[in-house]
Amino acid sequence: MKICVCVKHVPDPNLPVQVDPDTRRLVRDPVHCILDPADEYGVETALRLVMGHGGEVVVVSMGPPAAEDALRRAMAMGADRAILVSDEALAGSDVLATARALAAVIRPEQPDLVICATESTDAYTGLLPGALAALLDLPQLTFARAVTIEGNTVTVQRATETGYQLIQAALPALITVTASVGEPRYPSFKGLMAAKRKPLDTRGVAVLGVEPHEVGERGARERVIEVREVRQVKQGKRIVDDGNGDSVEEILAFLRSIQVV
Amino acid sequence: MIPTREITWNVDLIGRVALYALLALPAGFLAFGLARRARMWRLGQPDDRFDRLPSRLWGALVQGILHARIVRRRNLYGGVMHALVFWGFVILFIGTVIVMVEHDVAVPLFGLSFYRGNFYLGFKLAMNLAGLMLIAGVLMAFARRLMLQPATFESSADDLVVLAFLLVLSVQGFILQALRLAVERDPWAPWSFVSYPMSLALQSLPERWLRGLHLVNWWSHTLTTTVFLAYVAYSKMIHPFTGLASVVFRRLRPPGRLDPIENLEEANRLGIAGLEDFTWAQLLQVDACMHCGRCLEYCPTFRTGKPLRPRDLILEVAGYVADRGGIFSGELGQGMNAARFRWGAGAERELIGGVVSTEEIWDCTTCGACMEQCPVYIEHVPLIVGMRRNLVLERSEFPGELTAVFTNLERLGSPYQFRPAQRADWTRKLEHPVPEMAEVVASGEDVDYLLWVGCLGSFDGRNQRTTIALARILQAAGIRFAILGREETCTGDPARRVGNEYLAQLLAQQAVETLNACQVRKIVTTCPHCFNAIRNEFPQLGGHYEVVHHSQLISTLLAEGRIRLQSGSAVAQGKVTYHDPCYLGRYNRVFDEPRAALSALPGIQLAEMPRNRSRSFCCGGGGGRMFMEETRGQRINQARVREALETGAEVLAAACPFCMTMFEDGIRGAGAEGSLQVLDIAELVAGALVTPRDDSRAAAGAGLEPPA
Amino acid sequence: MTTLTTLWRHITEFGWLAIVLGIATIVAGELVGWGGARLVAAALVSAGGLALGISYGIREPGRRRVRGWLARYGRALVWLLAALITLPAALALGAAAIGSVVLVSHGSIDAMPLAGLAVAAGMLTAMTAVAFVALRATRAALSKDGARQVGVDTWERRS
Ligand code: SF4
Ligand code: SF4
Repeated sequence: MKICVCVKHVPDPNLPVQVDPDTRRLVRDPVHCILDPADEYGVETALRLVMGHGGEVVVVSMGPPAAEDALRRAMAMGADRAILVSDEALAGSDVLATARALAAVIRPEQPDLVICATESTDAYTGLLPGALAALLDLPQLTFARAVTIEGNTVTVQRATETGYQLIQAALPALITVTASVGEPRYPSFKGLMAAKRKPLDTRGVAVLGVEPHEVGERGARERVIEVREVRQVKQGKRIVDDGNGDSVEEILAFLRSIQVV
Repeated sequence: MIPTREITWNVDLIGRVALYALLALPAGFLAFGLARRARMWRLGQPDDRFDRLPSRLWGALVQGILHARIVRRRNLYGGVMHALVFWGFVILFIGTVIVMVEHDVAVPLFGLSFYRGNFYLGFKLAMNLAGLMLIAGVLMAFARRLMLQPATFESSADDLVVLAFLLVLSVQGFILQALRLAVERDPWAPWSFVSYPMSLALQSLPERWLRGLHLVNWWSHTLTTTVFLAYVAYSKMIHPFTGLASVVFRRLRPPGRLDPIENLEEANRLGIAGLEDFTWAQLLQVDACMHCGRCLEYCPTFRTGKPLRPRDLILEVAGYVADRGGIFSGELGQGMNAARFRWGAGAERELIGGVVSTEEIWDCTTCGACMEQCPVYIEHVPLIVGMRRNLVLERSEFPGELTAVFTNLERLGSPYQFRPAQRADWTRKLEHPVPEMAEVVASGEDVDYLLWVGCLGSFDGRNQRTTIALARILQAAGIRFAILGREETCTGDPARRVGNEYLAQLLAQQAVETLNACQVRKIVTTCPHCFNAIRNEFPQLGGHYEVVHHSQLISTLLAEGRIRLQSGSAVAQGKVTYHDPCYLGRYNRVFDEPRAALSALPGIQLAEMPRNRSRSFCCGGGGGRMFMEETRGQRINQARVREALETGAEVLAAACPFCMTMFEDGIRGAGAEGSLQVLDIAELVAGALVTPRDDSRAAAGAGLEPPA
Repeated sequence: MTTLTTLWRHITEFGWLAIVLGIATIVAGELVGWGGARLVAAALVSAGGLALGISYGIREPGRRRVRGWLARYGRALVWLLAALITLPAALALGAAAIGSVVLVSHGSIDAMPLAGLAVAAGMLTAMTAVAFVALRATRAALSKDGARQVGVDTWERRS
């Protein structure tokens, strides 16, 4: 079995977000960029599936050369090899262009399964998996909280507001995973060292078979019109425990009012 | 008539020949046992323990002969017991050598005889006394094993057999003497004050009987000695040799320093996962353990009923070594030394998981109480950390809570999910600003101290109060200090103690680079873990600084009168008890300064907990335990809180941010919020501080006062 | 260096040789009555013992046969040794009681021999008790699965 996992190199979400006012793009200081924590779940899912069924995990990313970091990290976790789509011409690509580029490298791999995160932790569009599934002509199973493969069928528990749905599809397919699929492993030092020697393939636009005008700033059909700071609203409610046990009820009532429970 | 006796009295030719011919057996068995062991030690990794030989030998003398670590005030029973057995045995052994010198060297070769006259009488007295000591010591040991049964004890068959041998040997000695005296009736017989009365009881029997009994017993004694010495090689009785070697080759480097993995990137084996990963010194130590259980006395995991018991850990490793060609293997060895095979036996067992359970490996707080107590200087902590290293670096298997700690350390330079930019947030609560080192360096100024705040002191609300209190004290004393602010990063201590040596080295390297870039020379810190890392581990990375713990600095400032205290404290009165943090006390021997600072406080009495100073009982937070759930046994922090409560103190004085957090939690857990609060030494001192503002107010007040 | 290596290579032979020589020396010495032989014999015999101990100890353990034999006859051996070690002493201590009875029958017993009797009785009791305890423990240790038994039940007791 071959699984392709799409990953992204994103600014560390724990650090404050900075937006360049001129380009209206996120400032991506490579020193403070990491493998998107949301993608770690995808890598973990792939590794667990391969552990059970055998096969290969290929991580795929599009980004500047520094994005190699994210791929190495995924390989330190255990992925077997990586493909990085990196080209000056790709700078400023929108979701569709990104999906085209990724699809172009994933297609020849002929994977049984493609795994994406539900959404990236920097742009949060959540559009890429759908675009990719369409381009690759794969069935799309989203919001997976558990994934199993039996024979030629993938089954996921699709998380919903009230519970989960069981959905199945024949392989090959594309799934998106949530943070409930299982804690991602921390790469061992051995893994880190091994990742340095694992194969990483860098491809430019030329070999992808996409036209330069389809991608990058020029091909982008999305535009960032304006970036505004959101005023932080004070959240939460303070409930003081006066010892008569009402506080529990109060907390529950509050949680219900915001539909958490 | 000159007092003496015929050596080998009543022993026939065959006996005399056999005595010498049989010498090959004990010598051979002893050599065999030691060689078998040495063979295993040689499989270990190199470790330079041949430096500073004089102090090594001196230590062996003080520990071995004078029993400095064996007879301890808190363990008089065990200490006196061992001293009796040891000295009894040694005197008897020396006696045998003296007799041999007389019989085999002095008389035949030089025609000299000294075994007579007053020397002889004194000799008899000493021998009888020594025999009595040996018997008394052995009986004490039996009483402890079978009747008193302290919780730290556990008896394998070997423990009992060894004792029985010692007792029987000394009884036989007395019997032989009594039988000879009963026949010879030496006029000076009363000098043998134990055998003499027995000889009187025997005297009335026919001489034929007595001689017969003597001969039979002589043979039996010879046999017993031979069998005993042969047995020694296979039993814990080898410890006079291995234990002594372990003391000689003990660690002279600071105990607070964990040896790094050199050349990490090239190392092909990481940590300890098999026989060849131990150092030879560790394998030697494993052979030196004689199951005394002293390491359990103050061990927090043992005392709270967790799987990890340091003695058992060592014995388990001994069992592992045995199964791979060491000396207790096979059914016999397993039966006699059951403690070595706690989780099973067989060479197919993996070290981690099969011989030592992962629970044991992760339970340890690295408090060092075991190493402090062990009479033969066995080092449990490096062993445990070695296995953690393998689990983390090679297999990436560790308690799930640590994943977040590692990623935070990697990305944010602290175990917590705080941004570096928030590091200096606490300074906003101060009236006077605290400069950052980068500014100080840029402006070409100089400071007395760099205040190394540490992660908890920077980010954790409760511990920020300690940092603020310390800053107030320093400001009041007019000390020029600065912080690193956002430049500060973890020292690597938590990563290192949980076995993530790679991360620890990166972090320590980074911290040293920052410090060196700012040309820091003197550092003060509130965190004993940072203190220990900076003091003991940074020098290896080229970071040489003079570092003091804040309790030391405060007590100096008090002693020099650079800060003054009011006559009453705003924060605490009455009884205060002080908890020695492991990494300050045991590891770095800072015991007195915190107490001096507390004693200087107005209206406060210091009440000691029973387990204090080097015998302090860990708060449960060290060795990364702070970040892991404590699911096994009782809570360590609550056990310590209860101990503090028993002193009747209202304040538990802390000197470590980890202890602070553990005790805040422990007090809540023990339901003692009303009766006990935990305060850092800095908070206690700051609460009674005379600030310049008080001074001016006092001066103003004095001016207004009408003249008396 | 080379002598040392040669010595080392033939350490087993030298060991045996030393022991044989040593025994010969002591036998001859005792027969002739020359005391100096004792020192020479002691030195030779123990040096031989040491050499053999080291040479066998440093080798790969492969003596399954010895171990098997010990496991097989271990119990019998233990009982035999225990008897050889304790019975003579017990006999002598018992003799002290007979001696005292003889004294009493002569009507000439006073405090000292009585004290001697007490010492002997004390020693006998202590020796019997510890021998019993040690033998019981050993028996459990040597029984087929007693080895594990000892371990298991004592460890369980505490946890
Ligand atoms: S370091 Fe502390 S917790 Fe760990 S084994 Fe030793 S005494 Fe127990
Ligand atoms: S490790 Fe040391 S203190 Fe612990 S039982 Fe062994 S010898 Fe005693």
